[in-house]
Amino acid sequence: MERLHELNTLLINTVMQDVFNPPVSSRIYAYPNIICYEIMTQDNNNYPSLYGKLTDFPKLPAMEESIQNDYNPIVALLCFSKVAQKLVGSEIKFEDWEKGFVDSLKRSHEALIIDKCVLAANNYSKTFNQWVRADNYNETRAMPRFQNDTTVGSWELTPLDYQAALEPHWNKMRTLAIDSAQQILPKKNLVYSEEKSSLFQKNVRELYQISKQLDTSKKAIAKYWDDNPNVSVNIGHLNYFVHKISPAGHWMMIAKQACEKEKTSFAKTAQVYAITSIAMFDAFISCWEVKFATDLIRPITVINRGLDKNWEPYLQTPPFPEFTSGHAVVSNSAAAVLTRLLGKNFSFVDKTEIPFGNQAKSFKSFYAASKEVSWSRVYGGIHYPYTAKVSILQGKNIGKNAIDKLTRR
Amino acid sequence: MKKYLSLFFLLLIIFKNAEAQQNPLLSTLPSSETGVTFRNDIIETPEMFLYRYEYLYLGCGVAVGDINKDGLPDIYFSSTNGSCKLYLNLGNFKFKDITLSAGVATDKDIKTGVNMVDINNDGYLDIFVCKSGYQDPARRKKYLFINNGDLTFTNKIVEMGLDDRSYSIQSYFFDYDNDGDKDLYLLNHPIDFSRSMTIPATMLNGKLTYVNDTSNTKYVSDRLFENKGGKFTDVTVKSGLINHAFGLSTSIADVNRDGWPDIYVANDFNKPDQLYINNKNGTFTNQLDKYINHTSFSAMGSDITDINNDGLEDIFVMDMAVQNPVRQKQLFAVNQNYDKFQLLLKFGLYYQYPRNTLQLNNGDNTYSEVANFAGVAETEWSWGPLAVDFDNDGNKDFYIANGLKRDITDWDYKVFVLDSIMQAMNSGKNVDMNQWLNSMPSVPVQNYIYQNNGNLKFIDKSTSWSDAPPSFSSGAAYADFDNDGDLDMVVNNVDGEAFILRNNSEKNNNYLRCKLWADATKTVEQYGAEIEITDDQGILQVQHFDPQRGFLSTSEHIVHFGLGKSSVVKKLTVRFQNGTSIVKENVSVNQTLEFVMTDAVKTNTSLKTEPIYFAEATKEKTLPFTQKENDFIDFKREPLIPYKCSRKGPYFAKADVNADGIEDIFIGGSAGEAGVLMMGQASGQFISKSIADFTKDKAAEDMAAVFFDADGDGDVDLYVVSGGAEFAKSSKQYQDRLYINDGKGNFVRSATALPANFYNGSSVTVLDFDNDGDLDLFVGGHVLPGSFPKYDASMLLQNEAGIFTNVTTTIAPQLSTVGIVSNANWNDIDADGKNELIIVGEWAGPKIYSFAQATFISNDAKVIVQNAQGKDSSIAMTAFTGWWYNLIVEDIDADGKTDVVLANRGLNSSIKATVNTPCTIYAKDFDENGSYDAVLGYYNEGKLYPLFSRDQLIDQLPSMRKKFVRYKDYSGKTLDEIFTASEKQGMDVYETRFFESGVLKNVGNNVFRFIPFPTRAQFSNINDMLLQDVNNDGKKDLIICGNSEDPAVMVGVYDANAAMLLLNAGAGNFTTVLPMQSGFKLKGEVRKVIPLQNYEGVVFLRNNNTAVQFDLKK
Repeated sequence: MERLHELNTLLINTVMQDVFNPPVSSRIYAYPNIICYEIMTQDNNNYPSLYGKLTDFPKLPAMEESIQNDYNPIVALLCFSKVAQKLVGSEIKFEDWEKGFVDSLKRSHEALIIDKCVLAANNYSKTFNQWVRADNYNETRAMPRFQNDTTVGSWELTPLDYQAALEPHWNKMRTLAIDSAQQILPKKNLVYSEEKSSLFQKNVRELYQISKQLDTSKKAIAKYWDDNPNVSVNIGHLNYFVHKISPAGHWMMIAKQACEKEKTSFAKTAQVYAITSIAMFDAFISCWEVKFATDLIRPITVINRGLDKNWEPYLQTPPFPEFTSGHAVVSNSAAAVLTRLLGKNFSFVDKTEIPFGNQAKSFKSFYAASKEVSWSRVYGGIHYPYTAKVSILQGKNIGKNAIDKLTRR
Repeated sequence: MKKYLSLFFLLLIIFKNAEAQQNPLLSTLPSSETGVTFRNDIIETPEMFLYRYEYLYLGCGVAVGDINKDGLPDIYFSSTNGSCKLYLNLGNFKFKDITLSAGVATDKDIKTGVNMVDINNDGYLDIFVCKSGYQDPARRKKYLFINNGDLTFTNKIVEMGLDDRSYSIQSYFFDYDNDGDKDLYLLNHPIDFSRSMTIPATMLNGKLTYVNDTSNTKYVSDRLFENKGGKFTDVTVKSGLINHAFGLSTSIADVNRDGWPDIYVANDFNKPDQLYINNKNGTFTNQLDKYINHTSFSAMGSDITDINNDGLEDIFVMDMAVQNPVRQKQLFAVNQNYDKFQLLLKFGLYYQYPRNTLQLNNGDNTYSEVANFAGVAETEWSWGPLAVDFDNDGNKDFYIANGLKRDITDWDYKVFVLDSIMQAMNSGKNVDMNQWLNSMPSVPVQNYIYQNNGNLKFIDKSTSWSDAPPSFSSGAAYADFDNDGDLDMVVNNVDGEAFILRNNSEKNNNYLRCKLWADATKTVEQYGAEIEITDDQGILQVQHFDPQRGFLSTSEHIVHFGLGKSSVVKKLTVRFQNGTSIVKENVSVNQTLEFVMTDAVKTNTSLKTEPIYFAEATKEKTLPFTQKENDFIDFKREPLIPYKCSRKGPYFAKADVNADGIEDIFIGGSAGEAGVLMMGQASGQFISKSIADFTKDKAAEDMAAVFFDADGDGDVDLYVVSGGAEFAKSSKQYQDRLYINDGKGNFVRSATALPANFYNGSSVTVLDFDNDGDLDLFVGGHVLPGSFPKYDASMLLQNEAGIFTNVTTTIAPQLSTVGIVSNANWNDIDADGKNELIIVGEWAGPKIYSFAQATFISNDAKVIVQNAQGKDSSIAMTAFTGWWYNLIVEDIDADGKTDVVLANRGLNSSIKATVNTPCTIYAKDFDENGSYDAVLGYYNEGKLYPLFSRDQLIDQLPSMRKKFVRYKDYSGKTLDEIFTASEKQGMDVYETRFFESGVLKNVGNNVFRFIPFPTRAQFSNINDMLLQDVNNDGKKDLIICGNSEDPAVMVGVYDANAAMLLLNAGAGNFTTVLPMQSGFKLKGEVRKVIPLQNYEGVVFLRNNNTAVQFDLKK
């Protein structure tokens, strides 16, 4: 079980170092944890198979008799590593891990059995990877890059890098627990308007006011949940990049810390990781569907145009449309899953942010944390208050959908 | 033959060795010999290091001048955070450090540029030292060391009124108001480097406007000080020179030749350079965009001087592009993002590219940027250029001081290393500043030396002309330290000893040196005076006197001409800034002349040239047409293609459509714009006529068009080719259209005449191939949309009583696989009495097809080409590959044989090719996701390297991330090494071996000799050409038009030749007529040239711009 935490930590760090963007990161977290759960719980009736639940998920054959039951964890971990290796850039990290793992197993087990486990993991991950490859990821790479709409109020390029919007076709990815990218949408979108009394303009003014009165504690919250995997910093010609854990990565770490605190079983741990990552995978698809359908202008652009030409948000604005908030939707989907699996008033200490210059932080519950995330984006000056509220609900519903569907027997 | 060849090689080897063993032209003298031990060691402390002041590494300047009037130039070195030093020249390259006794030591605050200039007009050179860096203004108090005339100096910065505490780079003295004294332009910069790359915008009066923050320009804006009787007064605001840019050098010259000095400021980062034109009333106006088409992005040092001896001074500005194939990929510049580039353009920050720019003066207040053509675009992180005629052959060579103490643009450092250090620090590990800084690669590089061989081509002599080691050089200056008639160098180096380079070229060539004074007392130097000489070979040279050149530095106070073997200067003219001049004839060489202004006489000769051939037509007379291009971005669909294929218009066709005897013109519309019919009037004007069916079909993009009698009723009908590449392949918008004329110029689209054809077309050629009396068509196909560089189908349409049938597969299967077609022609090229179809296109050689036995068969033609060494070789026409954009088929030299004139991309690009080193594309759907992945490479240092960066490659091929985990894994990989053998299996390879435009002169028997156009016609791509006898000598001359905004951002627009007249010199040769003589002064992307009826003039059609009309002068 430590091995599963170890693998997830390795996965999260590798994703960060390879600088994958947030939606792609959620994909990399989900698949290894899905196969790990599926293999781990193959003969455990308390944990239903994902077959028939996740879109087009293949039925994996039963384990060969000689390695049934006892060796499920080993095969599951090997599968995790093999699937992860295909998804990340730095394959060597998982090759090394696997080599170390197998070597250590061979010191305590019969080599022949371990070879069988490796063979089984190869076969499972092969079948599994065929399913992975059909998720439209490769195809979305070949689709046109984002081109700005020139109508007023549409999203525009933001400093520092003025990058085209990331992943404009992410809504075309195959969903996991939701039926389609459109299944869970906000009731009412935030729509650009120049009308003073409009919801949009009210939000702009409100955000601007909040930014003007930003105190230390709010700044700390914004910074704590920045989770921007690629912040660029500019000192003249020295234009460097700071990588932080992505939103989904941060919640994978929270899941890890919660499981460690609760001392969950291997199966339970695998379930927590799997369903949390599945919900977050769906959350990105759902959120990106809304983002590119609404194509809403970011606060920095609109405030510079009117209220204050020199205004800068406390956080760097990530390169995609504003509505809804990716981090808020994803965090609340994860919090919904964790709440159901580990408890409503589950308090925990989050140490994820220490390498990024923040202190450890205590939370009373998962929802307390995910709600704080939503507002942190407002304090950071990158999302409107209305967006924060709506995104919480969108995320919760996606999380609930996943947990309802995937824990049902 | 073989024997001779080997002998030749043997000789070559001996010769090469001999060259290497000789003394280099510039020998580096050791400090033990010279006594110059100065080093600019940059000391980094937590209080002052890179992260606090990004310009810390820019180094310091060096000033040269004779401080004690002993005839030997002395040297003052500026030092970043040590004391500056003064070295007295004792002769024979011995120098003595007299810093302390002279009283010119400095404190340890951050110094930058240094100038030696006689500020108080007492005949003794003073020293001005600039400061920047520290935020505390007290630490930016500059030095103005006034020369006491006895080898001592007194700092009088306050007394002279120049105690300005700006963040200063360098001081430049010049007489901006023509009142006879020296005023000061002080070059300064902002200190907030975090905003150097942002593009802030706000709504201003209802218009989205760039926020040019000039609200707080104290210490930041450049400043102008007027010299009023020896004291200086700040007149910046009044002069209109307030700015907020990171200026790194200034070059002062009379750019528009009106007798008043103008100011070119080279600016780092987002803000473009400025060209301040002197309004002659104490004010200046930035007119950069009128004169210059694009600038360097991170502009640093600059120089203004005539580099091609045409009497016009050119502008050379430095940037930081790298030529070395490994470092090129490791240090590539950031602003290669299409969207950001467009944003910069939108907000008026202009066309800026991260490479050196060499602006060649066209003489009509426009410049053509030709650094790529000249081979001087990529010289590493380059601080200062100096144009110095090292070998005294009359052509100014280049010395480029370069190098940055740490490679702060190293991508692995920026993306991975720095981040991991910061995470380690956050996790509680101790990382001290030096550990942090030392994680940045530190690579000294060779300063560049280019030999100018007189034809705008510069030869890299960095290592053969100099034995100096790699260095971090910043300021550099030239001077004849030993008075032997050639120019030596001094270079200020960061973290190393300064270079003293002795020039060993003495006695090989002749020279002439000139000094310029106000009067016979020879105390006051005359900056801004211009000297023009013509030697006995008829070679012209021009230089203006200004020792403030390059970067942070001042060179010897002299005008130095190399004269080659010329033994006499036939004519010498000195033009002083006050409008007076001195003319001398038959001046003997190898001497130093002194001219005094009191000997000069007032002259009224205008320096302006009047055009000979064409004059721009009045607005009323000009064809009233503006093309509007639709905003399709091919790079969003295909990130790795080198150029757009969707931006080709406008196209036109002309004929008398209403039988009134006056020609009418159809001009096609881009996608979303209807084509227009311009009816010619008796007055010579055109009036647009509305045609309903054109409007109905406006969704399509009109490519080529032709008027011809499709239905045999005696009037001209109109065939319009649909193309544009922006729609998905096989879209119905690609259907071509035939509009039938009712004889009165009313057109209705025929619903039945054409077969369905959903191909992305490019051209249409009328031909009666079957000799049945009705006119058939060849329609060329362009790129297969979304699958560059695959081609879409070309068609042969057979006309049977006005109904067209696609007969390509039955009659002309060869024509369906002809490649990307640009244009075609039906002409008798092999003198067999029958016409052939000549087809040109991109990534292919021209093709010739004969029609015989009911089918088209290809002719085996050959091309004789000459290599750089002047050696002929014969290649198959199919290997004569280019990006052929257009052709004219005609006997241009009246030898009875039909020639082919070919338009190509030209030679002014970083993407090079030769017959043996083709520009190459590997293409295949490498990652099997449905997109055709075309990866372009070109040869650099003998190997084929990919054009694009790691990140761009990964954007197209995400799987490459696994192969190139870090940037260094990709840097230096050849195109072949990028792909595995199995990936390469089944891929398509496309090649281009020629980028020159020129003439295929028919020498008979299907053999053609390629004669490239002259140099200036290769400065840009050519879109269209027109043969017309302009000078009435009975030979048809050539009007070419070009430029293109198609190229990818990292390639850069072609803008160096909008239109040009080439006079027919016979035998396939043409001579250039400069725009200032032809009268073709225009800018932009000129796509078509239309001859007006009776050859009274021409109309140029420009993409996304108005038409421009020129009348032929009578």
